[in-house]
Amino acid sequence: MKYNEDRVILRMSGITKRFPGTLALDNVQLVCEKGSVHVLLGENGAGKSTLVKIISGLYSKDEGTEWYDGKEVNFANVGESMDAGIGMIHQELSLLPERSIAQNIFAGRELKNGIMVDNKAMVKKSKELLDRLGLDYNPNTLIKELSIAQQQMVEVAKALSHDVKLLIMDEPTSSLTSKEIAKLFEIIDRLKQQDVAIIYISHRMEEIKQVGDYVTVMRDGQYIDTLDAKTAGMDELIALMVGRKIGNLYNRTYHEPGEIIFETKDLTGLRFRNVNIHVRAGEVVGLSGLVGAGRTELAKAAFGFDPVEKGTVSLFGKTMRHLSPSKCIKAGMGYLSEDRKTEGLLLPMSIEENIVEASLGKFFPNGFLSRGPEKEQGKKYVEELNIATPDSSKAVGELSGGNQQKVVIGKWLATGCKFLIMDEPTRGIDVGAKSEIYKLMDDLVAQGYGILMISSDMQEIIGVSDRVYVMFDGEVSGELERGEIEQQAIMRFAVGGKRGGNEA
Amino acid sequence: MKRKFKLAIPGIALFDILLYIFFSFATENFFSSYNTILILRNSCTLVIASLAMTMAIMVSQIDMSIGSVISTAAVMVALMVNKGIPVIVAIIAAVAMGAAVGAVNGILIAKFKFDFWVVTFSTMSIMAGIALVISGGETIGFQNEFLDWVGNGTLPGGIYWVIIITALITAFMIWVERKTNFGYNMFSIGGSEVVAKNSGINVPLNRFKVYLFSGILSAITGVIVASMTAAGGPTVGSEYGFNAMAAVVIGGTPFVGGKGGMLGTVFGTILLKILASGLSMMGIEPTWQKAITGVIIASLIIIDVLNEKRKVKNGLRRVYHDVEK
Amino acid sequence: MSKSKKNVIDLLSRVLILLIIMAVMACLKPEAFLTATNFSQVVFQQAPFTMLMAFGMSMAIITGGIDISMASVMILSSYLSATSFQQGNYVLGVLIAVAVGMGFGLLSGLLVSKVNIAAFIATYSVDFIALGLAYVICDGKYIYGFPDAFRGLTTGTLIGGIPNIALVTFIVFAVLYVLTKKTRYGRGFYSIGFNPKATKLSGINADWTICSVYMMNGLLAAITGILFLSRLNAADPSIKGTLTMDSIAAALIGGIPFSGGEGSVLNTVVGALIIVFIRNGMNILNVPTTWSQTVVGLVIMFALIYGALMDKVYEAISRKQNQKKALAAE
Repeated sequence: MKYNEDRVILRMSGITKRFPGTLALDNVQLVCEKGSVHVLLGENGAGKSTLVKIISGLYSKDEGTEWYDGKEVNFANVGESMDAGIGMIHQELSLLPERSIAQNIFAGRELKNGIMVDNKAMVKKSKELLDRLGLDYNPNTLIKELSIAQQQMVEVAKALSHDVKLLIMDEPTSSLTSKEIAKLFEIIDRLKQQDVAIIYISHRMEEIKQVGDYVTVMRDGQYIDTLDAKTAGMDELIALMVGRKIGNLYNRTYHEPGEIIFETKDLTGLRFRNVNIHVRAGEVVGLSGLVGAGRTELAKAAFGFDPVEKGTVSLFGKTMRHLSPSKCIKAGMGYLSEDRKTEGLLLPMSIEENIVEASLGKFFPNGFLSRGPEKEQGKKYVEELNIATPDSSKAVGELSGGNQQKVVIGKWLATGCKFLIMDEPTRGIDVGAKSEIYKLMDDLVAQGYGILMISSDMQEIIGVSDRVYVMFDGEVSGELERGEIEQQAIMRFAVGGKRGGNEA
Repeated sequence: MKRKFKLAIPGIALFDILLYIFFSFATENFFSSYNTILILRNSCTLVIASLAMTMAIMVSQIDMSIGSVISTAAVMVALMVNKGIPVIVAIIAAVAMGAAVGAVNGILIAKFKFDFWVVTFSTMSIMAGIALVISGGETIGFQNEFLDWVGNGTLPGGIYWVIIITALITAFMIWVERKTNFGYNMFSIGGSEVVAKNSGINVPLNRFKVYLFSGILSAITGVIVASMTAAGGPTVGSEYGFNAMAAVVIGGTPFVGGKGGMLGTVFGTILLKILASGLSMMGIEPTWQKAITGVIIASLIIIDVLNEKRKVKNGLRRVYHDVEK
Repeated sequence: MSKSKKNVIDLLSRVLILLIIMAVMACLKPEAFLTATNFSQVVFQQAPFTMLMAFGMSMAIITGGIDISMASVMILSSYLSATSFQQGNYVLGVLIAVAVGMGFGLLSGLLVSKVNIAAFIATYSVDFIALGLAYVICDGKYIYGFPDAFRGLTTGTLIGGIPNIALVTFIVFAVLYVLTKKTRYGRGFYSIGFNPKATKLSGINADWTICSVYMMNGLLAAITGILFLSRLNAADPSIKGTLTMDSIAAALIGGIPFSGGEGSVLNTVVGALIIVFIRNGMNILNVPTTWSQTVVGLVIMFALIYGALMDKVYEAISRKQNQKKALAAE
């Protein structure tokens, strides 16, 4: 890709970033021109967020150089990058609901007149800011009185309240209506005219062409390619996003699926609606989609942890009334949550204590704990699952990610459940442990288990699933049978497209 | 509430008026300028203590030691005045004590991150004991012109000086709340500590300041309590903790913090005192008064928490999980 | 180092603190301190009350909360049941006391678990309500004079010279120890204290467990109230005194971290003994009673700092051990 060197304001090269257990970024590059929009495209976990967090100073880089506005920089914190003119709009709203727009925009940097805070000046400046963005909000309105879309616009205003030369927008349109999106694009146009460089992270294909000038595709922490956003084709981009050989990590044996053991009918909750899916004995069903699609919310509600507004869940043929985790567990269902550290494990407690945690009633029917069954179960699963530890009385918090995940799996196996929802089962785990877990899943379904696997890892979905549902924006946007599961199709559904055909 | 006026009148003021009207009809002697001034006079000390509590609650915490600092300050002033120490020195000493306690609270809570309840509970116990020790367990009476003027002096027309002093302090605190970075920071931190941090606010420093202010205001309250009764007793402050909490919450600053403010607290305090005066005038026995007030306060606190939970549930329903690899 | 080892060492260090305190007093006033009467008085007459209340406080803290209402509930329940005991109607008396105690405990428990109010606010309010009711009902009256048999509860000895009250305390301790450490219900206290969300996702009914803890505290308060009636031979609402503060101090200095999820009633026993011996020491050394609040407050502060220091020490030791292991593995 050829850039106009006079206009380049940011150049990242050779950026490498490691986290414990994973290589988040591997020799990544990015060039941004003033007055242009550079789209960052990639699946979940491709490294887009990590890259921009390095740019803004939230993270430090392990290798590589960041050249910004005429010199090499190494921001130690967000404040420094803000002072240098880098602004960032996060995916999550970072506003104070009980304060006004003006107060939010100037939070922490209130304008003063002498020693007194000058509210009038802040309101005035906020109004100017909002006007410049084409928003006619009253700066005195409280954030909680605004719609989510309007709140996101306020976030934009807040980011622009400093003098920005480089603006990073992380999924800025995820909660906007088309009216607001149009307005946002107007704002972006205006910013371009003011020579502001913009990095725009999004997975919405139609926006790339509309708003982008350049588009860089990332995959698995690596830089793939940079294309001209106006001329690149959707299929081409998707191919770049996912195009890689499926490794030999997955050895699935196909089993003729048995009865339906899990089924939802028109299940509707806070972040999902009208979900109709089912899982049969002997199959692994993948649930794919991008962040925010509603998959975890669906799982938690089906497990009885979050409330359900409408619809039903049936397990093993029985419709469940008044869902609760303990009811679901008794009915033979388990839920391996997304975040094992905060939701799946009691870190200070031992391996064996964690393993029996969800089946206390089963192993200690008379209510009294005893070392025997606990140690037995601990030993059993340490062996079966090959958990690397000298003994099962070690605290779970001291294990590696992969071993921790195995403990969680052991916990659910110990309950005797036959249907298991696994939410991101191999996130943050080394390859060795990953393959062990995949083999385990294969063994389980061979024994008649049914597994619903939520995953943001395309390779994993394709390699492990017998069938795939794809969610987008709270609804099931597509279903792929065995034989239809391939990268492009999944991606198309994940970004809201329809089956087949070419999306411009 | 869309604000047209700079100094919007909090909704709680309406309750004050309604209750006042109710008691005016329900009893004979309630409605008089004498009684009204008396109510205001009785509100003074609780107002200042509640302003202190407002700050702690605004940042989603609490200061249990307010009551004990009040007692200790009152006793200190009484003792020192009796020993012939100049009044102004005694007052400064008491305020310094309050600041010291506040500083200890602030450091332990803001810097070392100990639990705010246990820390202020322990300082409360320590200071309550100190008040007992230095007073020998007795209420110390004293005579002092200046303090007598502070506590009991009136302007021609019957307005007590203490009301004016309290009003000045209140005005100053409201100024701090609305016109300083610190004041804005309190709202921000109470609204969301994470957002405050991301906006570059030095959260520990501001939390420290809250407890420092709280200690100082509590000490000032103690001085005024002593002035009004010409005595300093080791337990004079014991009820202030609970009542201050009540005044703050009733006045519109919920326990989760982040909104409301000192003006509301003032009206909340006055409401409590209107209630006390009215019940008393209706001939209700003190123990029943306490019971009724207590039940009302407890219920209002519970309703407040319920209300906030309901708002959260219906409010920001959109929460994005930060998916980090 | 493993968690259980850490807990044992920590507990022993608290025992050490207790012994140090006792040693200091033995040095300062051996003739008054090192007597059988003194010891039996402290251990068998004073400690039980603090200990029983501290048990309740400890369990609330382990689940990540706190229960400030116990003292007032104790007073109210003892007051309401007093007349029954006076009339020899023991069964009725116990029923009333237990009903009042567990009733208020249920209120606290619901407020904390279902309504989701912070424990210190909820129990503070319940405390106020209970105390207020007690004052209203008692109306300044004194109830005194109980039958000898009833008094024998605390003054008498059933087995081998051990005062009954100590026996009762021991039984309660044993029951609670088994409950918290040996039952799956008790295991729930700890997991809730560590991480309520993970606990719920494991299918445990955390709301009911939390509620029941506060109800149990109500029961403990009722029991303590009955014992107080027996000991003082009177029902007197002003005995609330320092029980709340002492029980918090006992739990903390005994080694139960305020953050929850850890600790056992063993810690409480040690902690309660520390507190009563400190009070005993002040008594013997003729320290004016006005100092006691300050001292106990300082004990709480000390317990916080001590706990934080110990955590740092354990962390450092664990890190050294892991480093050694890593080196050895190469």
